[in-house]
Amino acid sequence: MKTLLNVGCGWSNISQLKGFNKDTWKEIRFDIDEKVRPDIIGTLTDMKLVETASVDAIYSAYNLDHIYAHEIPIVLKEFHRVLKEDGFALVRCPDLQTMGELIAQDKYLEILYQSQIGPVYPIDVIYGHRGEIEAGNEYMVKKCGFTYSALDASFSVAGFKARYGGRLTTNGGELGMVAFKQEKSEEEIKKIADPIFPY
Amino acid sequence: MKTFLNVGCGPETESKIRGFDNDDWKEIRLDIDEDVNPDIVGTLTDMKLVETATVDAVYSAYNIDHIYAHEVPIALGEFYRVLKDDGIVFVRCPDIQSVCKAVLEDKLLETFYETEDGQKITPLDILLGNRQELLDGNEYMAKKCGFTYSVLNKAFSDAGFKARYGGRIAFNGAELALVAFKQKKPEDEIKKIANPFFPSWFV
Repeated sequence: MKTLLNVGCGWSNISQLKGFNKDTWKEIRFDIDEKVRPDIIGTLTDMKLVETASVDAIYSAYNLDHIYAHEIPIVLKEFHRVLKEDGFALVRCPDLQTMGELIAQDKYLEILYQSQIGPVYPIDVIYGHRGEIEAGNEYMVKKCGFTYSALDASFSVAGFKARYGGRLTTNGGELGMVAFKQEKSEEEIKKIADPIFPY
Repeated sequence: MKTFLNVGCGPETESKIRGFDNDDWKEIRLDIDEDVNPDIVGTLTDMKLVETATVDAVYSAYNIDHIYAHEVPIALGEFYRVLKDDGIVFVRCPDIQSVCKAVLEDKLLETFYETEDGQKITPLDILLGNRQELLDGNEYMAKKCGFTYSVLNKAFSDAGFKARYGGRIAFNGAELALVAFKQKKPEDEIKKIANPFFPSWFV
């Protein structure tokens, strides 16, 4: 049985994640918010309750964009620490390059896509969902953002020796990446990454 | 003598503000930080210490990008309230349309412009706040929203400003500058009032 650490999990769980079969993966849900009933309480920048080299995989979806840029190296170092030697991280976050393209065309306040909480606009992707923030959910505030090259460079600097992924058209334009602690052949990378890649 | 309210003024500096740099204007400085010795203590969204219809102009430079998008109408409502009927706002902020063109070109972390003191500023710094300042713990440097010219113009229009004049100018990498008038005015009068606030090559 392998373990998956779902960081900043919110209400999500493994049954919604492509490629992580419940028969072979055991999920550990990790969040700061007790309401979502996490297995471990903590933040991305403080994962001290997770032991070193204790998990096979990390799932981080739409949370690296909610911490400051200078905190990113701290978080990725934590990811690196808690992963086993052969471990990997699956990361998803908005693609600022796609937002850049739309805003360069003055489409800052044109609907990007419909989400569960209503229409989302490029301004919401960059600064956080305006309705949620107005309602007082300040944790929805965006503090950082990535292009694929910036995301790739961050994981490379943090010691992840192989990375695989790119820009996706889903959710109005997002980034997906699998980052491996160890060097791997292209064939091995694809074998692991393809089944879990979100789309 | 006319008065202009310099909102979120920050520390006092020797340098003059283009357009207000003559004897016609008296400055009133407003800031939340008492360390910068403001004449009036207040924020963009809470200017209750400034009386209604008391100032001829409001000057807002690089602060409407530090409040949440839903607070922008509140701040512009306050600008509108404190201005006399014939008053104007001169507003400056980053032009994220230009910044986003650089992001589109995959230059999120490349130098977009250099400050006078040699700091290299990237598109990420402009969009979400200066990373060095944030690292130093100055959380008020975080950016909470941003504007294209069309969005800025619409925000002032929605707040009741009947005439607007301005555009995208190449300053600080890329800046938006707008003069917004409470009252409707003929075009030649708008230009006559607004021109001193813009570089000569713009007008």
